[in-house]
Amino acid sequence: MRDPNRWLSHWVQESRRALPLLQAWRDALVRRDLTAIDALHARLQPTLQRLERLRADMPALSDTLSSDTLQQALEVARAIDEVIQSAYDIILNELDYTHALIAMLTRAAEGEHYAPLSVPRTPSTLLNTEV
Amino acid sequence: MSSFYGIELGIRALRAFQIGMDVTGHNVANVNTPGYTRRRVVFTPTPEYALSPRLRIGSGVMAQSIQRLRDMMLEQRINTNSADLARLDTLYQQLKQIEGLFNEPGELGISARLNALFNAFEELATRPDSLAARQSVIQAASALADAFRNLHREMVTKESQLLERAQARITEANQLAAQLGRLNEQIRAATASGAEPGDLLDQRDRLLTRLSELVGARAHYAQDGSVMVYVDGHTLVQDGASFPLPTTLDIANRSLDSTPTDIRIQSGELRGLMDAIANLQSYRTDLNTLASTLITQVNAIHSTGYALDNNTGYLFFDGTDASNITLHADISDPRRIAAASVPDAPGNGGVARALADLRTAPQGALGGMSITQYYRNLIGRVGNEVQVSKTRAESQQLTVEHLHRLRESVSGVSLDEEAANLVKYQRSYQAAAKMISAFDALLEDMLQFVAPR
Repeated sequence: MRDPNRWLSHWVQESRRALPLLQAWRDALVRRDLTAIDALHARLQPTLQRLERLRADMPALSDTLSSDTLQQALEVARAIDEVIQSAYDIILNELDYTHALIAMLTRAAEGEHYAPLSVPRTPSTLLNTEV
Repeated sequence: MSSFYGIELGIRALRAFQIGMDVTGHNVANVNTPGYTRRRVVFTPTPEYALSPRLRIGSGVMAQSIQRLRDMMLEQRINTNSADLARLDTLYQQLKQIEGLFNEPGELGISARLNALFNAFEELATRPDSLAARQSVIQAASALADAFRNLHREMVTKESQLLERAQARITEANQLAAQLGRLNEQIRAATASGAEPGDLLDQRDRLLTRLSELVGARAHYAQDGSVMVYVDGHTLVQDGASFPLPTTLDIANRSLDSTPTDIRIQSGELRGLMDAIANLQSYRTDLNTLASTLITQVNAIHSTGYALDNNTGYLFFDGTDASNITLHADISDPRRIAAASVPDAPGNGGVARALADLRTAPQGALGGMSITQYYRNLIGRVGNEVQVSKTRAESQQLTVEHLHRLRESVSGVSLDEEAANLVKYQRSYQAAAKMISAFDALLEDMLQFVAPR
């Protein structure tokens, strides 16, 4: 069984390494910069694997955790949570957005539907959101 | 640990992407609109928010601007080449119609009627005392004179139609220039307020293309969003003002009369019409030269001959050129045709023979060519110029089509391309969502580990 304080220090260390990459990745999501998103995604994978391994080695609960390490862990966890929360919102919006656009394009491909040069055969111009 | 911060950021992103959706919707709705330029939203991150001096967080995304995907260099090339195509195609279409006026080859054409007259002279040379042969000469000569006058009249009519059409093109160009001036003002006002007035710019591009096709106008784009349009050295549009083209044509110099210098028209339909008019004038000059030579030569020989009434000095043709050639009143009676080279010899056909020989006799006034050769040469020139203009117009058409395909690849809306882009985004963001789940699970376990304390 590993020492809980040592384990938590390791976790803080790995998480701090991940945080700037996560922030950069979230900013790339904001910019819709696919190249940067994919590159940062790849760079985050080893950190993610190390954190997964740490998670598997998680020691039993202990009352002897150093309050300083605990404080550091809470701070970095909060920062990561904020980043992934905002990234999550962005991703949801993006998926909603692309979903609706693909629906629109699928309908547009039906010749007469959006073609302004021809008269629509049906009065319906409602957006079909099914793809 | 979710916060209002995340929600605000999400709303901001949603607003930005809704603009994107509107723009894509606009693109898709205009997929079949001629001259429409595809728009693209430029997204940009909003300013970062500092959680602490060392920890900064992005605050979301905004739609910074809407770009029209337009390659200005390509647009200039399209306009220049379209103007050349308009010139060549107009010239070809008009020359084709002019060629049709000649009715060649055909029984009604001058070529057939010239031959008929010379055949009739030959017949008269063998049977000078035959009234039927004399009647044939009069009929053939009359038909030929009619053909000359008809062709000349049709040429004059055609020329006046072409001149009217050229004037109409100038008027249309001047109206477009005035519209362009007004658009310039609207675009400048909109640009100054920070917006890119995409639809106004599309409208302006369409006007510019038409102006290029009409008079070969060229455009210069200014920083403030306005465009200056000029033809040769003449400024047609500047800012909100337009300066009409003069309407006096100088066909020989392919220019419009203006002070201090004439405006040379290099391309466009107007130039095509001017070229066609110049060609038509040149054909008409040749036709007049031919008719005039025929009148002079036939009269010179005929007046030396003796008619059946034994008189001499009769003229055969009246008139000066193709516009007014007719049979002379002297030969209103077939017996007055002077076929004989000596008096008191009704069986003598010497002069009729000399007249028949005009068919192949070289003429100084026709550059050493005979009358029939000269006309064949004129017809050959017309046909050749039609063929050359056709080939050039077809080749230019291919160039313009190629440029349009290039523009379509830059500015046109491709539903497949839009969909492919979206699928790419979707996949990437789906992968991102998986990573969020992984981090979320890690954090949850860790928080459980530290939570009891």
